[in-house]
Amino acid sequence: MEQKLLGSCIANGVDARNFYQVEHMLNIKRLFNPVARGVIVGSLGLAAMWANAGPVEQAKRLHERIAGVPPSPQTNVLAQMQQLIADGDPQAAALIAMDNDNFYDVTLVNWAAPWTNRDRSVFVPFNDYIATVVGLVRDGADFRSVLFDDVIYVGQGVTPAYSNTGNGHYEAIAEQALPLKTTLVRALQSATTGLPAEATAGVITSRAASQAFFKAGTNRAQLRFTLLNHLCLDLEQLHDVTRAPDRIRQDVSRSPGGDSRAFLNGCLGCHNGMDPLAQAFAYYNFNYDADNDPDGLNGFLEYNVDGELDPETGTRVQAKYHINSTTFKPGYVTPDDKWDNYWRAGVNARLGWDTTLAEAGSGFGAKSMAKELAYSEAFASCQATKAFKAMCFREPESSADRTHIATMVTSFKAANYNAKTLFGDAAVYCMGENN
Amino acid sequence: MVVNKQLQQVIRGAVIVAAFLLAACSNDSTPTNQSNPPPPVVDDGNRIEYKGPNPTSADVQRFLVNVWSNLALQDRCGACHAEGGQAPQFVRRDNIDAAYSAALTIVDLQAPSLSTMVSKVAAGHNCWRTEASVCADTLTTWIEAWANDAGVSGNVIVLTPPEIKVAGSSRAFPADSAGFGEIIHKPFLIEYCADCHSPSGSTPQQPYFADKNVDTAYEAAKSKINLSSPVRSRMVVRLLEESHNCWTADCQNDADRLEAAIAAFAETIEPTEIDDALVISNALQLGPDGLVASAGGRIEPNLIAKYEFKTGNGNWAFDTSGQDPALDLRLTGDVDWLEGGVWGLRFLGGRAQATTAASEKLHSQITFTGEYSIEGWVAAANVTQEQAHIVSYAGGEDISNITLGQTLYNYDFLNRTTETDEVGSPGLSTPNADEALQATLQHVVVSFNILEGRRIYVNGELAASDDPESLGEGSLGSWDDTYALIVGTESYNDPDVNDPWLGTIRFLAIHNRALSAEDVVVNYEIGVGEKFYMLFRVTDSLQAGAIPEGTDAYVVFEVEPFDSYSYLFSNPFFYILDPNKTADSEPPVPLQEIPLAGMRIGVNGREASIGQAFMNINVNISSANYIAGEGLQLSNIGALIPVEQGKENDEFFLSFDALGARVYDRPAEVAPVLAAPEDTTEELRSSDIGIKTFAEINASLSQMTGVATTLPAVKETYEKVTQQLPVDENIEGFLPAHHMGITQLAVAYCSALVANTQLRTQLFGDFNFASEPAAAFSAAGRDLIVDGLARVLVIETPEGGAVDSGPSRPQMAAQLNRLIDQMTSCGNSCPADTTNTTVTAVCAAALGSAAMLVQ
Repeated sequence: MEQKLLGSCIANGVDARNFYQVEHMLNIKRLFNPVARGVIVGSLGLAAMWANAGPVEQAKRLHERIAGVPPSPQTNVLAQMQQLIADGDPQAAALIAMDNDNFYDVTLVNWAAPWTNRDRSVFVPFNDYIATVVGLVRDGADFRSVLFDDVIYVGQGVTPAYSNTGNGHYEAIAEQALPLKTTLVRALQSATTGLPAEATAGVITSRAASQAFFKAGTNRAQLRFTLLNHLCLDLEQLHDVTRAPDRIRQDVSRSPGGDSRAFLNGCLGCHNGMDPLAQAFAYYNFNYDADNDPDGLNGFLEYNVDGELDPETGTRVQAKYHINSTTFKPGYVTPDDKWDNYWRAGVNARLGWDTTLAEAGSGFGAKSMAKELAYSEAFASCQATKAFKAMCFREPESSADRTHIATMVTSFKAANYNAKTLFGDAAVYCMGENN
Repeated sequence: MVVNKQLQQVIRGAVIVAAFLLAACSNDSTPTNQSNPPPPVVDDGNRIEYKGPNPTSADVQRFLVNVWSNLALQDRCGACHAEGGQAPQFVRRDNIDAAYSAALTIVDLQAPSLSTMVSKVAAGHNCWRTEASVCADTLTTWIEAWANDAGVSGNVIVLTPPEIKVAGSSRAFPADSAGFGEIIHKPFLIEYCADCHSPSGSTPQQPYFADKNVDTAYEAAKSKINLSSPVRSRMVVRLLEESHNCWTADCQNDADRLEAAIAAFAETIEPTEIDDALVISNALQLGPDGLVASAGGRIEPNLIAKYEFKTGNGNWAFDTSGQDPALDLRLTGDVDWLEGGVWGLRFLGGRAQATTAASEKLHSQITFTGEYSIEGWVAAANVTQEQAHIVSYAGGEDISNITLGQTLYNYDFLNRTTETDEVGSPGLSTPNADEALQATLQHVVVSFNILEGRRIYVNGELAASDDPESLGEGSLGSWDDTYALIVGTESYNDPDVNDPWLGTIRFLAIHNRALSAEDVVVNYEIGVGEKFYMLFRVTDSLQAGAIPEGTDAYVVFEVEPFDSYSYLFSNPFFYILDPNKTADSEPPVPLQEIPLAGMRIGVNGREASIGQAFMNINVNISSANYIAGEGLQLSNIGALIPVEQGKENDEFFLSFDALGARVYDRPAEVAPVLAAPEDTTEELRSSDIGIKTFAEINASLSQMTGVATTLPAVKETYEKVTQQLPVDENIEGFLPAHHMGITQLAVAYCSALVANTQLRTQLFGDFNFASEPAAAFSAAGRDLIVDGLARVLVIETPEGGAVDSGPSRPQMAAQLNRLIDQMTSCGNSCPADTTNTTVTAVCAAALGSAAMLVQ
């Protein structure tokens, strides 16, 4: 009976509706009860086993955490890693695991994918934002540049070529499952997209981020998601009502529902810091056909260069910065892309802003503002925390975890912000203790 | 120093004109606005006809039409102030020119509300209505109509320096957090708020006033505590009015306890004088010291009903249009007057309704002209209410002549005509995509005339209009004259009623002509509510010789009660007043450069902790940028400052980081250090191990079988089950659905593996797939299968060593052999593909198991 069911299933193509029945009949769970029940249902027994892992077990775990797959028996990777761990150099073992294609194709892609959309979903098509993150990690670049450099990674020899009006180039890479480790090449974003070099800002001006965060709205989303994804802080955590509200735009109601207390104690606490920073994006907009292409699949990033005036604002500032201007007429009217970081003082000074930057705390345009964010302690700490979560499957839970993250940040800086060190340090920390 | 000296300075300039945006100054005697025709000539006690000599000028005629004809009645002013009566004889009937001359002595056309005639009536002098303020407002309306016709109102502002007052003492937060810690932090915030308002809380939420570090909490709590008025402390209001996480079922009691604690904390603090080091202005109070800025200049020549909601108490909202009969509204149900000296009504499900008899005025006056506008300043409480009626002229919710309503982000306008049904359908709404209605104070006008059809204006802009193709169809001939004017829900106690409208109305006017687009803009720009000028004297902080001898320097703000909870300070400018200025003298200018930086607004002896929108101002005032007679605008934005003790009591001052010769060395802000989060308890810690996620599972199965992920059969299955596979590594989130998806994918990979001779040989060596099950699954054959799977699962090393991080090879072999036994139990009658099928099943069982999944 079981055989017939399975045979039929295999012959006809397995379908989710009947597969439970097949699985039930085969009683796979029962067959693997010692494993399935002991590991999946109750993990404590296996965890105890891990607590006394030896170099070989640590090597396997290290590899799986980093590459998402076990070491292949067709290579001697396991043995190499085991030996390095036994020799007291687990970092070197981690680097071997990072040589696996799946570190780039699986681990890094899924690390970055949620940063590229508002739903923070991992189920999004491969895109230029993800490719640039993967490429920078692969090349051991200063990872801070992800936010502000004139950089983009494209697929070498992949057709269709990069396009400002579609994601086909990157979807072709994914469709063919081309190994990113060897397929991606670094390029100048300005040369690839035509955006002026001074207007490029790493992944922020990628097409994917533009489609997600410069589309419609007021461009505040670009700042909010950059903070969320790269400083690990949502606006609620940055809330500080004591900053000056002088740059809050006209479109923010000062009396929501007729009650200004809601503004003064709520909205103001985020907008007072957010609006002067998001002003850096005043010349950007994602142009798309809202009627026929509501998702902007064929849209493109536009940027008002010097002398290019928006017909509604009469300046380079995009019209979206002046929308709903009657909501509060004495609000701020954006005249240019000058940004200011009010969060350098007050409770958010703890984010560790870099005082040595040429444009520290104030400047013009997305590039310098993004650098302001990238050079903060919060940025480095966030990358470490994200890598920790990716390798250890949890947020830091103990003082030991937090101390280790601080150590990771130190190593990250010492390695000139090479993100591979973060993955190596985190994976080694969570590979289990030697017995 | 000039004290108690009434100075008058006429300022004509862009700053003020821009602030008021009123009609341009004009000496033209031609009326600028068309008025309603004079009342019918009758003398029946309700209306009066002038039969004396003709007016000798256009302005006298305007006085006659707008004021005299309304006041000369016996039951108003005619009994006393007519010819032969008391002076001034401004309603004499024998000579309108003489009456006009008398009226000019008690009327201020530039600021009608400040007219002596108005203040006299406001004080109770012979008011012909039940409320003196209603008489005053009605009188103001008539004088404004005169002034508007003359085109003189509002374009000239008179600034009068206020009495000089020194800012008073206040309670300031002590540097030491001990008192706060003992009275508020430990017993309340730590006890009841730490789960959220602490960085170590389960859902960390700023402000961290419940941080376990009391100093950190203290800094965060300061802006939420009002030492002057504990009941207005934000943390009390959140409990009392918003039921925000009350710790018992009785929010009132919780709020009272916290308020008492704050009051007790405040009592421990001795009031202190303002820090001498601060650079401050003199103090002002809005009510006593603010100069009323005339709101004249509104376009309302065809007004038939007007509500400014000034009364502030009682059950009636009075019509002050001056057009008889008064269409007063009776308040019923859940309707509140706004607090804090702000004019308006808050509708919480109730209504304000006129009588049907008085409402007949609308029918007669509007059907006479065949057109109208309804104009309001409204603030919806939310953008979720649907088919909620804001204003209607109706007999019930399903029968109406006019309805202005809200549906989500849209204003709806229904106007009954001979071509619509009895409620005015189909209605006109603002477009969904525009989201024209916001839950904030907005100026909305709905208009109808037969040539332009229906129009909706929001904040001065046309937001919706009828299709030009449909214009000219339908008149108001089908209107019912038995309906009543209703604001809010028509049937507040009817459970089947549409959503009762929830929101605030600050102003309502009904005109029996459609306002033009230009008129709408003018009325929108003038705004709503009372506005004041506040002149903060800063002379004492300037360096000697900075301004001419005998003059005073001020920072002037436009100030208005924004809503019940805050003041709006806007458009500050620096101005030098010369008390001795004559018509011929030059207005004063700065003689030296005057630095001004870091301006903050102080309330009741201390700088407001929230809303300081002018703290980044940094300007040097000099004759180069100061415009004589106009001053120097310091900012064009506005700041909201929370109300503390109300309009009549709150005392304001300005402070500066730098002003003239003085500099305040503001202490550097100290960023509080957050306490480290507490460790998660051992039993709540996450598992040390996790599961592979969807892409890792796919990659692992591909690597283990050697089957490419791009192989159509597996790719198709993967795409089908991707979102059924685990997304997160958290092992506690593993579900049966995940297991099904994994197994399905494992079967696809193993099927492809077994179908590929090269790959299966690579994995299972010499296993004989062509043999019958009995032969194929010999002990040696079974070892080949188990060995291959054990290697790719890394249950053992390539060299054959054990990897003790999952099932052992013997455990695995025992389970797989049992499966093989079951699947090959067919003996000699097995189907031809039994061997392949069995290997596929065994492969899928192994590779789809926890041995693959767990990492």
